[in-house]
Amino acid sequence: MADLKILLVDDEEELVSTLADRLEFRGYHADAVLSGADAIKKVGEEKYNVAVIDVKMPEINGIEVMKLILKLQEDIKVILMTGHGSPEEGELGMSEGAFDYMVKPINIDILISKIKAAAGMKE
Amino acid sequence: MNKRDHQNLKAESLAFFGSITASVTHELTNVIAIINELTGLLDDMYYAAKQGQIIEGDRLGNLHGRLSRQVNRGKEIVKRLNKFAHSSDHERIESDLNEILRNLVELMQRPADMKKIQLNYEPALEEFRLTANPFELQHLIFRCFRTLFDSAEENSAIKLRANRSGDNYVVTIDCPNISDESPISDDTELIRKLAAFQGWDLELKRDDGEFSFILSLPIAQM
Repeated sequence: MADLKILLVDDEEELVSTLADRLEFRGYHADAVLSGADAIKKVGEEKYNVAVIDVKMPEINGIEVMKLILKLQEDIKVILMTGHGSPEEGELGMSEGAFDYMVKPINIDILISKIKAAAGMKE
Repeated sequence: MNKRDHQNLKAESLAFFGSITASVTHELTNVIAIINELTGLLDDMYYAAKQGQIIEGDRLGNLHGRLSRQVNRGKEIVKRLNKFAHSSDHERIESDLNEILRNLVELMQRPADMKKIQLNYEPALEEFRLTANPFELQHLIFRCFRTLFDSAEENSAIKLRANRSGDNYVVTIDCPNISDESPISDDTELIRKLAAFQGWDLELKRDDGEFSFILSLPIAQM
């Protein structure tokens, strides 16, 4: 589990830092960044297995961020997070290359299960 | 104004209401998502403590503060939305112009952030009592903001202010950094119609890279 590298991307700092803490409790290390630009920079510097990205962010939306990081690292798997009223954004993201999507609020056990599936790990 | 124009304006008003509620509920979703994670983290700490892991008191206290901040944030968002929803209760009512403008700016903060645009409100130093349709006033200013969001360069600052001039309150929305070539959206026609329908004067000014909407609202009840 410790080898799995996860990147969390959301402009809501409290959300990503708490998600990172919760993943840490379960033995996963996650880096948290607050913008698409920072996510792109991080992926340019380090290799990640999975990126969990919010769709609605200022500057660049999550789907655009996903497309840019997929150019930097082809094998990174992306799980998108969308608001309750906009699951169609998740569907659109999947058609653009996302591995999966989740609707907020996030269930941590389902998120972990999707992260494991994305990373090709068995349950 | 003919019947079709009137129906079109009603439809645009409904679209405005939908746009504001969609934006606010998105913000509320984030608050709920954060509270969900924070309470989840509290559970995680509880189970870790039950298994013998030491959880420092400071960490729990910090979590309490973080939860309270989100609950207060949620309360403020709901208060703003409620105030906005009730602004459609009356076709004409006396209200505080500063209050109407402040509430709208707060509601529009997130859409502005998404466009990387600063939204600044300079409240008048005195109370401005206005008898008008508060919902349509917000609708008109919302359309002005949206027009500027679409045309302004990133990191521009839109300034909203109100002052008194003779028998009118004058609401001015200024935005620098709009190049003379930058197209101003088709919404300006709708904005003019909205103002005309309410009996308000509206002037659009474009001067040396700055674009302004200047709205004059008669103080005396018509």
